[in-house]
Amino acid sequence: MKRTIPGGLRWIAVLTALAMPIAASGAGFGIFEMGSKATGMGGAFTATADDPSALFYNPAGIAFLDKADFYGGTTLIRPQAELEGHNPYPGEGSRAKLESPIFTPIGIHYVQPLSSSFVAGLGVFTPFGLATRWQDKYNFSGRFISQRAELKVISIQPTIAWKISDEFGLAVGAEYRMSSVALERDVPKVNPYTQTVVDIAHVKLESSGNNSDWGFAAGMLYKPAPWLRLGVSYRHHIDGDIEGKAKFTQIPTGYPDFDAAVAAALPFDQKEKVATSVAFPSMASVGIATDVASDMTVEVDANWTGWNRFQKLDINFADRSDLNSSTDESYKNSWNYRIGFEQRYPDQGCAFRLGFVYDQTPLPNKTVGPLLPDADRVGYSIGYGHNTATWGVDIAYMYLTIRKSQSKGLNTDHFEGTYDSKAHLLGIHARYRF
Amino acid sequence: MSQPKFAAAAAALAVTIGFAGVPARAQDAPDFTNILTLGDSITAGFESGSLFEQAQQNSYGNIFAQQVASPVFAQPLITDPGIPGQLYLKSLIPLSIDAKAGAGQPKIITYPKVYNNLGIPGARIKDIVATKTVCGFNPQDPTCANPFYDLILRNFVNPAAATTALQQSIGLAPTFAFVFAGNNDVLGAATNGAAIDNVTLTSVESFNTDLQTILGGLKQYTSAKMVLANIPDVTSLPFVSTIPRFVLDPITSQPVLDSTGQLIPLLGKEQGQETKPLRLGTRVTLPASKLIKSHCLGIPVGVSPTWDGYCASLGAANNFEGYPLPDGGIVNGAFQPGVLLYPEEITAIKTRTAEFNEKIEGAAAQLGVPVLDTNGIFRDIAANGLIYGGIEFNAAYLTGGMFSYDGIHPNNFGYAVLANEFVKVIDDFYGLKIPQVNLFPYMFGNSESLMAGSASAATMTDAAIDQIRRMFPPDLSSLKDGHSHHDAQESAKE
Repeated sequence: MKRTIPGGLRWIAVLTALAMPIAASGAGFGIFEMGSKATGMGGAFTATADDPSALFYNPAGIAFLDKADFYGGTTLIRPQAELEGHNPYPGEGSRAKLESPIFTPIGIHYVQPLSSSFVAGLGVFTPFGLATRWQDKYNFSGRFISQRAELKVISIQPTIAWKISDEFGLAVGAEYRMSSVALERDVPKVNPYTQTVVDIAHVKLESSGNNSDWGFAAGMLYKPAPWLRLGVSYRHHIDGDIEGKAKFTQIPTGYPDFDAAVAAALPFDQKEKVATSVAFPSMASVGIATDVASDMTVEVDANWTGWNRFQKLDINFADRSDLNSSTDESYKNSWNYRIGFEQRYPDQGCAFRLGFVYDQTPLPNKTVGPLLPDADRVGYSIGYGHNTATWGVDIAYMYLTIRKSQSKGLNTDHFEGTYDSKAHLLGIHARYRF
Repeated sequence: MSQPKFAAAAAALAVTIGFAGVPARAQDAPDFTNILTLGDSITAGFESGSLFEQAQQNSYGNIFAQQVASPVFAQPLITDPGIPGQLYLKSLIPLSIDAKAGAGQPKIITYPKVYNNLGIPGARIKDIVATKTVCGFNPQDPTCANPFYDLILRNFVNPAAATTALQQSIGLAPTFAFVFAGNNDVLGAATNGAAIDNVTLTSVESFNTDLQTILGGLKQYTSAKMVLANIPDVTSLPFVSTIPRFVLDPITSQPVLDSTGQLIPLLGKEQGQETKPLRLGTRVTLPASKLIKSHCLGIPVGVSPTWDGYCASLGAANNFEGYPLPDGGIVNGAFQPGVLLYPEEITAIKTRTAEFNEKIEGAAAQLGVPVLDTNGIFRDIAANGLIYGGIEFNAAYLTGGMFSYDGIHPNNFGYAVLANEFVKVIDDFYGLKIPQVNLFPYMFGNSESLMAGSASAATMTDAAIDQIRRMFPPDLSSLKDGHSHHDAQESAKE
């Protein structure tokens, strides 16, 4: 459902515009790094949830914060991916690489207790994102499928939490999610003069205006004993309906009458209205944290993501329905499992963290391709935090190794390859308690 | 342990390691040292109405031989522009297909062994069994319709000891054989616009007899493992499915509509009937485009002012507006080729193809060999297209990317896809891991092209049409006084 921006909140549009495209660190196009303490613990934070980034991981966690609390920062993500082609296409010996700039998803959270039982919070974060840009894009063998695919998402989540007792907290928040996409590819055609494939056009699609939709998140945190916490959280799915413009630019072939026929068929050098929709999944998390010693916590989490909703990516042209496309995605629901560990040194005011995550990919083999070469991921993290009564800082490093993903001869576009990917993540967040 | 026991134990261990470490050569694994491909023009690597080296390199046999690193795969290579001169796209708008002038020369006609590629353009299944020459053992005869028997079988060297393609196949002593024959037993019906039993459509009995002779001969006299291929539906070829049944504007190529907004069928004339608009389901073959553009054949008088003006400008001698497009058939005992295939003829071709394929599949089952289902694969491509790397290919003429300029034979990419399908079916049946063909170079290759020549009103030149027709002559033996097609050649020699 689209909404126009209320006048007073136009700065949100500015925020969206400034947001960089974001590389997915989670499987599919999910991102899970909204707080560096959480990242240090492998993202196993649903039960711990003890800083304002809980607004993302488990909003009920903020019910137990008793001071105005600001927690903000970013995670620098540097993804790398290489493609090795197979027969019949693009063939043995074909190689390509993704561009690997550094992406910076943000996690900015503010919490304000309202009374002894109620706490309000406002989070601004990026739960989804994607940026796959292939190097040498005009020669890339997959350029007819995708040269560049970017998804930028910013969510704003006002939240209210209720501390029912010292052991039990609940929260619910509304999520206002703004999305934008950019897609680029070349258009192929058989040149009748040479009976070979040539590039006849380049098409770039970019979303425009504010494309936003509402969802919600909820959480529960239960502390049956001082050394035991159980957390459950849920984030509801959102249909990211996006409108934008597509522009076709002709690539001449050197055959004037063929070029003339192509120019008559495609709407060159004008902006065509397009619409698409990204079916964001629901997510549910459950976590158990236990203090194995007075200052040592271990947490294990299981997260479920309902990726099944994302079956197709349709691109519809308002005035040229003959150019519509529908790409089969067929994502499957997936699980990820996380384990996090924290060792605190209260006298020094610091803490060390370790974490591990196993993240299943939602992509079936047939969808593994140049748009998003995904596979199951394994991540290892370490983190360090320093806290005083008022300010604090958390830093975390995670190394994500992604199993070689293969289309195994099944790719729907018949683009067969093995993708070797990894990512380095460095998170840094600052905290101030008023 | 005493010495003998130790030795025995060591020997037993060596044998065990031997079995584990060395992959045993399966008794059933095919041997690709000496490959035979036997068939017709599709086997030869014929493209755009011509046999020429750049196309022959893409014959499925040659591509397959590379995939298995076979030491030799000799083909009767012919230099540019091929024999006969290959067709090319002269201009797209207006559409003009012409044949390159001149003729190529055979490159290795003195090759001392039988060629590995015994695909002979124009051969029907009985030709493989019985034909030794069509040109009286003279490949240089310019009036001869099909010099390929002489260029490939080369019986002119010793006519007295002439051999057929089947005999030469056996003489090659192949270790593996592809047999892909029978296309011409239905194709003549399409190219001549006439489906006539025993003239352009071989009878099932005759087909089966010759099929059994070929397979039986290979089985008895060679040790070759085999793969067969069935026959695709020729009515889905671009040659038969490009020209629409309706009147198109001569300049814009948009459909001309009547006063009620309906499409207007072209005119045709079935045997024994009067000139009528073409019925639903009638197909118009490629050569019709020239008849329509150069002579207004098939165009109803008064269909549109543009057409009337256009036809008048052709001059009285060339203006046949109101006359029907010719249907192929036998008129007064003589065969006339045509450009129309009526629904019954289409059905007859499809039915006969299915009957042939039943025989091929039955023979393959009996022999225990795989069959490549080219019929099914081509049906799928014609209906749904084919995608590689996000690029769509289909069976359309000129822009589909799979057919050459004659609208009948594959182009380089089409042949590579065919070769890859053979790889897959052989891997599947024999449990092998022959790598699939890398299609990238065929898709983007460095084919030559010709710059558009001077625009011409003709769409497919007479030379181009004749060239195609000559390849697939109807069997007129049943119309003559009882002599067989081959006897006629023998008597011509005397």
